[in-house]
Amino acid sequence: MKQTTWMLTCLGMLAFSADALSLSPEQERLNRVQAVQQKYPDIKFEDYVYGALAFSPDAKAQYENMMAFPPFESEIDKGRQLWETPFNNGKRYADCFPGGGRNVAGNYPYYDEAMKKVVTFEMALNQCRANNGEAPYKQADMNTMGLLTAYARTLSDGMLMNIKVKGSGALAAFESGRRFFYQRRGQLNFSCASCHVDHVGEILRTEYLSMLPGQATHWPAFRGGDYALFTLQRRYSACNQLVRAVPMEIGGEEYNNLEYFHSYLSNGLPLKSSVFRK
Amino acid sequence: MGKPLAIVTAVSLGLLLAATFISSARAAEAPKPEPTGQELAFDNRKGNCLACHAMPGEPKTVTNTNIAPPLIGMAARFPDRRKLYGQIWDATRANPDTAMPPFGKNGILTDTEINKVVDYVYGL
Amino acid sequence: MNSCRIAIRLLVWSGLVMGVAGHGARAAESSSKPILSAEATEALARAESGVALAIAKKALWTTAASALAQAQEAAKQQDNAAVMKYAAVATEQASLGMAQVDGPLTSQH
Ligand code: HEC
Ligand code: HEC
Repeated sequence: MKQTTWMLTCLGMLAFSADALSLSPEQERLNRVQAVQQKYPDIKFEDYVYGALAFSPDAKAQYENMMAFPPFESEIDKGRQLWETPFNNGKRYADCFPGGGRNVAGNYPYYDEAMKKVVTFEMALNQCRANNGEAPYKQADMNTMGLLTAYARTLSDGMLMNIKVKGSGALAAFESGRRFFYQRRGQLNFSCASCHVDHVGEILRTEYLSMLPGQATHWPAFRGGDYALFTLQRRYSACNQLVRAVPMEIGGEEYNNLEYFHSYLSNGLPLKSSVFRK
Repeated sequence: MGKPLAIVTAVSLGLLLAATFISSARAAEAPKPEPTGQELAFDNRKGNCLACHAMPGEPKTVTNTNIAPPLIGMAARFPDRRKLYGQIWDATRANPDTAMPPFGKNGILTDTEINKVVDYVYGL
Repeated sequence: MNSCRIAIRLLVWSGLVMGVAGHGARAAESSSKPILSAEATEALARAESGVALAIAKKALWTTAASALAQAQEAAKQQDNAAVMKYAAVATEQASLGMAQVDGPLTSQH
């Protein structure tokens, strides 16, 4: 009798703590991956990086065709020029990153214990500029930062996303990004998850909805008929506007934390940047 | 070009201008024709029901959606009109996790507009 | 060459004079209209502070922002009725946005 009470109390406390505290980042990721696997057992995990294309063999074939000779190749070349042109002091971006900038992007964003904040790859590029006496780029400027990442991130193509959340500061930043993802926003009252978790693979008027795991792996993307350059955070801004919420600042803390959460949920998936998207 | 012709041209040009002015003034005065229930349901800045609901009984629809149950046989399925109105006014009451926007609560549609949409949907 | 310069100077001057005259006429016109009513002024102030709070809470809707912009534009035109109408929308949409981000998260089951 006594033992049962004890056990019940324990169970009660467990239930309580599970409710009050959210899941560990890894449990959250596994749950989201498993939910997609259950709903779409035929789609391979690696193919989550194709997002909405994974649901439509036709659209995916068209995509593969286009990516054989991307019509936006010259834009990526502009990014390469930005990346390779030395700063005034003779140093280069490649000098700021291990391996000359190869296979690094999958480690971003990371939580910086000294600065007590999330650092994105874009912030690291700006830190590199600052350390070499150059003015930082505006992160919302697609003609500078956007183009620079369109090349710099390709140097990490094939790397597996490898985000780490360790320590209380990192966890708090992850949690803030997580809340952003599941919180309803805008007059139309959607959370990001309303579309990208609850209705994955279903069709919103004419568009398949991509799955959360894999969404952070292929940025920037060139979108639509005019191949407009979109960094991941510019895409956040567009999805916020879609639901009639005033977007947050690109490069600001809210989107950086969201990107931290969002990228963690893509862990284990291969990066491939500068791709086409509708 | 003779003088009379020039005058005729000038006068008709003037008339044309006046006519344009008057008609544009009238366009500004006259309120836009009120959208119908169907227009409100289709318009992606208003009801946008087609983003999530197919309407199998409505040949004019352009949608591939499969997010929500198709809107069909509504009169039979919603004998209580208030229930249908309530679903459109705030769908989170019936399902807190719903993806359907609360059209009335959040002021996406006015009461009059929701009533028109309800009338339209009832016919489906 | 010289005459050309004079012509340009004339053009510039006449433009300036016309601009100033036009401006004066407009100012006279608006001062003859009634100024914004106390009610409208108060409604506008409420909308502005509501929107500012929603921004601080990172909960602003685009509909609140654009209604406020319309109210401010109406205030410039001294249109009391329009100020009241748009300010009320802005205030309401701003407070709905703030209540929303205190609501439950979706998709937790
Ligand atoms: C009303 C539904 C809806 C909501 C809410 C929504 N999105 Fe989207 N999102 C879309 C659609 C439609 C697309 C384009 C098709 C696709 O890739 O899923 C898209 C695309 C994306 C993509 C690009 C996927 C790719 O592979 O290119 C990302 C990333 C994304 N959304 C993130 C978000 C985030 C973060 C939020 C919340 C701030 C959000 N979305 C909210 C509908 C939505
Ligand atoms: C973003 C998606 C979305 C939009 C837009 C939307 N709905 Fe819904 N609707 C749903 C979902 C999902 C359901 C299923 C029940 C639930 O989750 O609330 C639903 C349920 C309903 C129901 C109950 C259906 C039944 O068979 O019981 C009605 C009626 C309805 N919607 C009407 C409308 C009308 C009318 C509009 C346009 C003014 C509309 N909906 C717009 C997503 C949407």
